[in-house]
Amino acid sequence: MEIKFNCSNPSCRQRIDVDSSYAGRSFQCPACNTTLRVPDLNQPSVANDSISSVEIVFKCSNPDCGQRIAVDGSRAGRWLKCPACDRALQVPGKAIESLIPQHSLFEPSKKTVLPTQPIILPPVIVTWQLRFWWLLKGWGVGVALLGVLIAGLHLRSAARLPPHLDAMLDEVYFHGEILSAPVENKAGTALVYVRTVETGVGVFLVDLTSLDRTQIALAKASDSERGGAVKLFGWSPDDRCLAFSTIQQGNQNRHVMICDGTTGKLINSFDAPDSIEMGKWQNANSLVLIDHSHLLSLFNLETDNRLGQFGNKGLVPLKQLEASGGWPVPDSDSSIAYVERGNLWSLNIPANQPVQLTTLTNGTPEWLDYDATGEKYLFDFRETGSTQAALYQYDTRAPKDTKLTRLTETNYAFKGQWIEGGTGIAYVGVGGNRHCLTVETKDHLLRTNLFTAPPIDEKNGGYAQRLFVEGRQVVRTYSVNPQRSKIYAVASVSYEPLAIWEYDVAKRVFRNVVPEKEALVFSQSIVPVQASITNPSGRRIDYYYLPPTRLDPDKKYPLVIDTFSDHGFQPNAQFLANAGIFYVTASPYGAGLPERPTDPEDTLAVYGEILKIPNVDPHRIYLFGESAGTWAVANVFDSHPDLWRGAIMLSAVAFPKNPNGKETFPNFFLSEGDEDLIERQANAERFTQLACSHLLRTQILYAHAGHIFFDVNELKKRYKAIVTFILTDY
Amino acid sequence: MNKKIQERFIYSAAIIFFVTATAKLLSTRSTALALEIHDPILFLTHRHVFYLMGGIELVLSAFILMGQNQRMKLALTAWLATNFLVYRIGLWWYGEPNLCNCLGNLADYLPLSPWAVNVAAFAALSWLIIGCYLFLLLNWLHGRRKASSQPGIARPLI
Repeated sequence: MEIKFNCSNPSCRQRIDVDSSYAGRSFQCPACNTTLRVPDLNQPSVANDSISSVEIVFKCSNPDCGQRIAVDGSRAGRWLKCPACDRALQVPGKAIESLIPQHSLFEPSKKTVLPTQPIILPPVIVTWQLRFWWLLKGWGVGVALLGVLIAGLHLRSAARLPPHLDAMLDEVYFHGEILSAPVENKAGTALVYVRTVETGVGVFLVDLTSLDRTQIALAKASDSERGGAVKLFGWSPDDRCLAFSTIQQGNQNRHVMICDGTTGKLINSFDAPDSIEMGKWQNANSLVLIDHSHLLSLFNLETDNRLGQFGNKGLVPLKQLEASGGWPVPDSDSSIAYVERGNLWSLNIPANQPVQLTTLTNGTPEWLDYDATGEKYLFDFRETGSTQAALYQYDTRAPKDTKLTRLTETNYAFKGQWIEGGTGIAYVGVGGNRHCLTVETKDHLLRTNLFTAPPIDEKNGGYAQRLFVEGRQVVRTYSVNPQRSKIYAVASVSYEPLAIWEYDVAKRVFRNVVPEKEALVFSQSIVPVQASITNPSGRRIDYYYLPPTRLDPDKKYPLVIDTFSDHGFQPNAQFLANAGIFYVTASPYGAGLPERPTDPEDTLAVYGEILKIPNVDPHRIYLFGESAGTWAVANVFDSHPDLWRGAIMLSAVAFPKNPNGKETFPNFFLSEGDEDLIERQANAERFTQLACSHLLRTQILYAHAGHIFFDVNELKKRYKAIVTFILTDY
Repeated sequence: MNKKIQERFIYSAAIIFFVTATAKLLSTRSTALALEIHDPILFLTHRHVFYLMGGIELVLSAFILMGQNQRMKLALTAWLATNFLVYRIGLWWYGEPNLCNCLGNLADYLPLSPWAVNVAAFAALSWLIIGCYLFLLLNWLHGRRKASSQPGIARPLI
């Protein structure tokens, strides 16, 4: 059995046949999508409903009237008068017949009641509230669409980035730099050292048996000097107290803290009048300090009558030295040696009587050390106008004409210290153009050079100007234990950040007592792969690359070709590789920062070689250059534009001339310091605009920095943006 | 049927104008120096052009959503779309870059490449131009046909 009826939409009137089983159900008209309800013929009012359910609403066609009129559906196609203006109107739609369902069960006795007069509806008033609702609805849809678009794009980007990227970034860049020479206690059971922590600079105790580390103090980081935040004075001779000074407020290191020698618990503290330069334990009760104004002072834990007028409890001014004065070293319980006016002096504290020990002329002694066993002083001396210093000893027991002896020739750099009970010396020496830790003992078999370092870059201020100074092997500083039998070196090996290494001079045994980093969780330390090839000119090119961590052999990874090599322990390259990007540069590894960017010919030769690695994606190779390196990037990009997916240009000084990428759509990432030259920033903007006009993807990242980034946080932001740019390449 | 399609088209135009206006206005928050460079056709900085165009698009979007005069909506949409087309032709003629393509670059909110933005913008502009003029033409034809079939005298009520 079928039910036949017409669509209720007067402008449609589609003829519809459905099975009677659909009676009462709703569906959409196949022609106009109007929602219709199939008449249920079992209902007594079906005839009426099926017709009267159709209502035609229209407006009077008289423009001066516009009266809204509603009539029953059965009036479709008929003529009627507008009740408002009497204008003759034709009801929209076709004749009434087609609206009546044709069915055998339809009872003709039930007459259809057709209204004879139109129903007059009041005009629909469109209020401002209604219009505002329409606006909100429309803009809501727009906001939703935009939200979906933005969220979708960001989710897509996020999905392509490695998990824990920020944690990885923190881990790679934060290596807890060890800032100054550690100090061992007299018993040889504990060591104190200073390391940067995320909230400042921490003072740590190490149990030398278990190697457990405990932070005992926190200082504010120094703005001007790496080791300026904390100055270690070490343990008192009876190991009862441990002392150091810190920056707590402002920029002056003048807060002296005296802690329990075993637990590190604070037992006394005070603020010195000026920034502390150095401190040593005079005896178990007194600490000798020298401040920035060259004032020599004593801090007595308790009153000490042996020190005469200077034995009062607390901080006692001892002697105001001249501007050349410094390097105080106790040479007995009640006397102190120091440097002043180009000579060594010894001050008898109770008598307040300084005695001149040496009669040196035309030079400056530094790094004074004293060996109580042999009663010998050790110091370096640099003649005025000379860049070369040498180590000297002053032996108080020797005859007058042999008291002063020169111990080193030309390989001395700084910090001479007595070892082996005053029979040997250790110092930071120079081998070729590398620093090393030289150990010279009486026994020739024990003599050695312990570390080597990258070339010293005097032009750029040596290590001081670098964010990351570490290289293949570097020694920053060292100390000798109170027994003069062990050396604690702050040094780096195998390209890692600085660690603390214990060296037993007699046994010639090394031990890592403080690791270069805390345990890595989200990142790995990647060992660079070093290789060499011969370029088309027949010249040998040393290069190295860092493969991505957790490399999937079936996956291809993007590659950046650097036009310089990375600094120090290479956090930038390490981060890129940890994030899943190959890093390669046509420079020898561990050779320090080259003076010039790599030759374009070398870059192309290495490019050809690195493509042999099956995991390198040949379609995602980026040139990478910073500052002068962007000349090389521009050169290589312009000469071979089809090889590169894009370029990463940091503090750019040169740009590709014709960034036309209509076929390959290369991408450009630029990073500029907002304190760099305005002209450079403007050039970068112009280049971006030009690239955009060629529909190339470009991104400029501004950072609060100059031409070179010295702030680790800004550097982290820069490299995170680079990783995001490369991995979300679309 | 045509009326419904027309209404939906006009609604889509309102959404397109709202989305592009929002993107432009968000882009003005960028500190990129490119936004301070003068537009070669309008002689305003790109930032001001973004403000101006974003504002006009937003107002038009509001009018489309709140107004009732369909013919006016179509006409204004056609007018603005035609302006965009003329602007693009002008930039192309002078060989100048279209900074609108850099929306994705200038604002981190929209990580879209200029190529993708260009394709999307071109598609939207084509949609608006073709749709507007098509419906304006259909309406005009419908009006003519209606005028010719209008009865001369009033018929009696049933």
